[in-house]
Amino acid sequence: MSGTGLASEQVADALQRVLAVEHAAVWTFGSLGAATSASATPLLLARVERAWTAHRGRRDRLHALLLDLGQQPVGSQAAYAVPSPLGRPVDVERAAARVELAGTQAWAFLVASTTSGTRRWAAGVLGELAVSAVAFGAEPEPLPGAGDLVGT
Amino acid sequence: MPAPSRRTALVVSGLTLGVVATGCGEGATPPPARTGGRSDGPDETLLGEARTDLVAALALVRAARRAHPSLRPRLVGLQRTHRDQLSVLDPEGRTGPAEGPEVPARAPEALRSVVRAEERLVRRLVTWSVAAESGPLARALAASAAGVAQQLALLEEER
Repeated sequence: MSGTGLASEQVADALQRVLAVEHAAVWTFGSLGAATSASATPLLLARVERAWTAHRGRRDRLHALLLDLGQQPVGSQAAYAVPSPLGRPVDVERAAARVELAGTQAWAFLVASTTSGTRRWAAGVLGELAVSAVAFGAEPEPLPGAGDLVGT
Repeated sequence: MPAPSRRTALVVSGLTLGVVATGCGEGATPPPARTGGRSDGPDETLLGEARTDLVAALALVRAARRAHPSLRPRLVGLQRTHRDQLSVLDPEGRTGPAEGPEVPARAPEALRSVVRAEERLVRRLVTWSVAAESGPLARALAASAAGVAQQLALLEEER
């Protein structure tokens, strides 16, 4: 599926890097969900939960792809730095936007590092994360995940 | 469109040569193009098509904003997005201007026409990204698709 014409070690390395990012995203969105009030901000909580579910799905698929390549998938860390502060809904949104923007860079890297079906998946996720980032209040970008190419 | 810098010109030539450094955090190494040899021809063709479509999309957005002042604020983000994307993918402005696009007489229809064209552009950019031999070009095209998707989401939010 992935790696047609690309050294499998390079593909595996890219998948491992993105898996590490997804581990952090799952953990962070879990924290954001815990910091969000279901009664006061139900819509925000629903968006956070949707993002958490999406990141879990991506994490699991990356894990499976690495096993298919005969690689031991990188595990999650025991803990990650909690975004701070998280006292207000706007803090949660800001932290969520940062996670999604970090994701766009990781998945754009995966686009560049893979081919065919895996690249198509990565491009799709890149779009999803870019849209999710603006939904959480991030500024739109002409090339999400590849901002290094703009204005240089 | 702002004048391209020397580095931008180097970047765009690098897109089809597979030499642009991309990364996923610190220590990432630039992914090469596919191993086993490759030709620049297919990627040059593909990049040309992407440029043509982006120029056409920008022309339609500009025409819609000209014809319908009420759409100007809503479409300014798309206009900037395409302008910036072209500054990366076509820094020397090699692509000729698009033919004058037809804009529906009523603003809501004009907006729908723009949205349809942009949705099609997203699909095509992703398709080209998947087809690209060069990893860096694939990244630039997929990122462009994501940038348009963001603008479409913002337009949808405003409805």
